[in-house]
Amino acid sequence: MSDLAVPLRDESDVHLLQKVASGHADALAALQQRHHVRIGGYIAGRIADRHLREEVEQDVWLTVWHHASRFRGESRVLTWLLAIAHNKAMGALRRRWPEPIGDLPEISEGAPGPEARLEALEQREAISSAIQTLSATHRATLDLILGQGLSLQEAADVMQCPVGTVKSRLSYARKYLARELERTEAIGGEPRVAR
Amino acid sequence: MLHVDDELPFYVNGTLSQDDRARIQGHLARCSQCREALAFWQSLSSVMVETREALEQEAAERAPSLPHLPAVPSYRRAPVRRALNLFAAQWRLIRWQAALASGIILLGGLLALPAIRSQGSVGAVEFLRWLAPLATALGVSLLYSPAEREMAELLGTLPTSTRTVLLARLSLLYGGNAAVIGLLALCLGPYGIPVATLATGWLIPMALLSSLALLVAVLTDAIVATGVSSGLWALLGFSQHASAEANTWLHSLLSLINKPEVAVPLVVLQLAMALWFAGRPNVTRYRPAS
Repeated sequence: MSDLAVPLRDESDVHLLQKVASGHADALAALQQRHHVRIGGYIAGRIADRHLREEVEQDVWLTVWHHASRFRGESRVLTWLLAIAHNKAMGALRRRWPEPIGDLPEISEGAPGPEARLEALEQREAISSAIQTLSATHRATLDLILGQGLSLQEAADVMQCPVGTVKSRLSYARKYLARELERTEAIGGEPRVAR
Repeated sequence: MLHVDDELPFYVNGTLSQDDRARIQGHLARCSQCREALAFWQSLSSVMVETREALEQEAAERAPSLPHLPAVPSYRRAPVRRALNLFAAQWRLIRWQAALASGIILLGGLLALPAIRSQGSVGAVEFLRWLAPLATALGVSLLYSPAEREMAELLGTLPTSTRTVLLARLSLLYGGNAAVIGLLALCLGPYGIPVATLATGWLIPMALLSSLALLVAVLTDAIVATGVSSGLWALLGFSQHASAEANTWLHSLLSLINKPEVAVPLVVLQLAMALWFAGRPNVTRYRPAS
């Protein structure tokens, strides 16, 4: 009758999740301790409202609690957690600010490519501001791939869409940002800011 | 020339395979358009990473707080694994109580064995009838108690229903004790005591006393349950040794509840009531702060 050989904080993510699935509340606490910064950061990137953000965060951990047994070990635990966080955050955004489908402004093929905008790209603030005007979905795509460092397949898993969709979102985001940066440069001011 | 625009974000975040990286590097060496696109993705990436770090910094400043975890997880797909996990988790929690109960029995058995040998079969049955119910009832009293904060906290935060947890613990405790007592019964076997006599000798009083202890523990707390079960246990002993004339009603009542046809439904009723009460939210008094 020895104590648990491995303290919870040293257990692997997968082990912790298995314990969560068996109703081990301490294991969930340990998992949360390990990932709350990453998950909280990701949710904060999607949702500006502090209260809604906290609500979504709690919802994420509650979902982990309920559905830990659904983790099949086909992905990293972090990716699985990000997928839950992504779904919850986007769901909350949709409920609060319904996004009309097909509202993406057309970007003509003739628009100048990002290449010409390199100087403007050096200005981080301009990029940051331009990113803020992207749709929530496109921002999430950029965050998952460039911020969180997910692979194409992982990003597709998190957003539950085909890899082709991820690629087209990236392509759109690039063209959009290039155009937005060009416009900022032209009018010498800040780009328009949506919500 | 086939451009590599689509893959550049993944080239930047380092998630491409070695082969793909090499292929893209080869292409970049020849294609200025893709090099410029790469510069774009790199700038964008550094902004995204900076943003992520800032947001994570903010998240790190807030202590993580677990939500209230009340409900049962969906586990329909793997009931056996769930049961095993539940047993494993519960064993960690109850083992010392179970060990204590079994320890009492074993120690008592060892101490009493010479006496039993000298008295023959009656003594052996008496011994088990006396010791096993009390030890088990004490163990059961400790098994569930809303007043015991640590245990109640755990029960309050478990996703599994209190009833299921209680059933798992009971199974573990009874299982453990049955093994110990069974072992003892085997040791006594050579003294010519039929197993059936042994079983009815201690099983019925044990089940009666421990299910009552559980019910009392659920309704009140471990201390009361321990007191009630010890009291009843003493009463049982007293009634057997006092003369039948002096305690007519008590004697007949106790011999009535010792009959299997009365005892079994009574045990089932007590267990069912205990489980029902345990599942009621107001019985588990502790609730984690939200």
